[in-house]
Amino acid sequence: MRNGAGASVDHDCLIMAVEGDLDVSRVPGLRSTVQHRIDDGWTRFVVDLRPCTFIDSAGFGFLVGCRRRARQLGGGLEIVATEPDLLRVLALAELDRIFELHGSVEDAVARLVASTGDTS
Amino acid sequence: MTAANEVVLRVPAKADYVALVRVVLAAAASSGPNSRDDRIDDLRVAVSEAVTNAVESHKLAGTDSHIEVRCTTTGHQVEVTVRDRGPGFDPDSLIEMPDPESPERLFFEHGLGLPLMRRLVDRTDIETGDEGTLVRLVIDTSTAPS
Repeated sequence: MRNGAGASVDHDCLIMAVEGDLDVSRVPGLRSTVQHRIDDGWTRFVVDLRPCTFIDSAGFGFLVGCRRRARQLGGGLEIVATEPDLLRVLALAELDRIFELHGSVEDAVARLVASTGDTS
Repeated sequence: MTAANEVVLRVPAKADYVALVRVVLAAAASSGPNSRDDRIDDLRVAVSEAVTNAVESHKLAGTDSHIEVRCTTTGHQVEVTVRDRGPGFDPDSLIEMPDPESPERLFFEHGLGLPLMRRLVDRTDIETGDEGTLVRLVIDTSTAPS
């Protein structure tokens, strides 16, 4: 996938691994990528932040907006994050109260399937 | 005049330069004695927020002026200033975020930068007016985050 976000599929969920920094320079490209996937019919997304080295409020806004759009289409967006420094920033921004932060892609997919139904 | 312990950057107001500022400022702030990695990380995020706001502000104003970032290290204390030439804003007029667990929160993609800056560093001062905004961030890099 473009913009350094590798993608795979599990249970009709599109899994995007975001590498590098998720900041204002990166968000427009990622937002466009997600919009293209929505146009292709995807509504269930897992964003894997384990390879992500930095995130700030531009990245938070991207995640929040994508979840809203996905939910409006009957899908959803779940986050995988395990790195302590990243978890701390997510908590300071209260993202851990907006999202359930998962320790593995499998957990995130299971949550999406449970909340939106198994379509596989 | 630039003091021996001061780093000054003048960068184009473009999103692509925000990462460069983070790298340089983190390296400069780390030069202080007993600096903690978690506090340098906090400063990196806070600086990123301030510079991102400056970039957005210049875009709003349609100006191609540069953004000036200064980092002064005095013992454990690091002071960073970010000066833009945007239209300024009223810090008191910012919309309060809804509760994170409410459905309305998903409609707020912007506006988190300033509150996050205030949580990350020890002191945040903002001077803003028609000729631009100056954000001052102060952090003691030797003490654990609160």
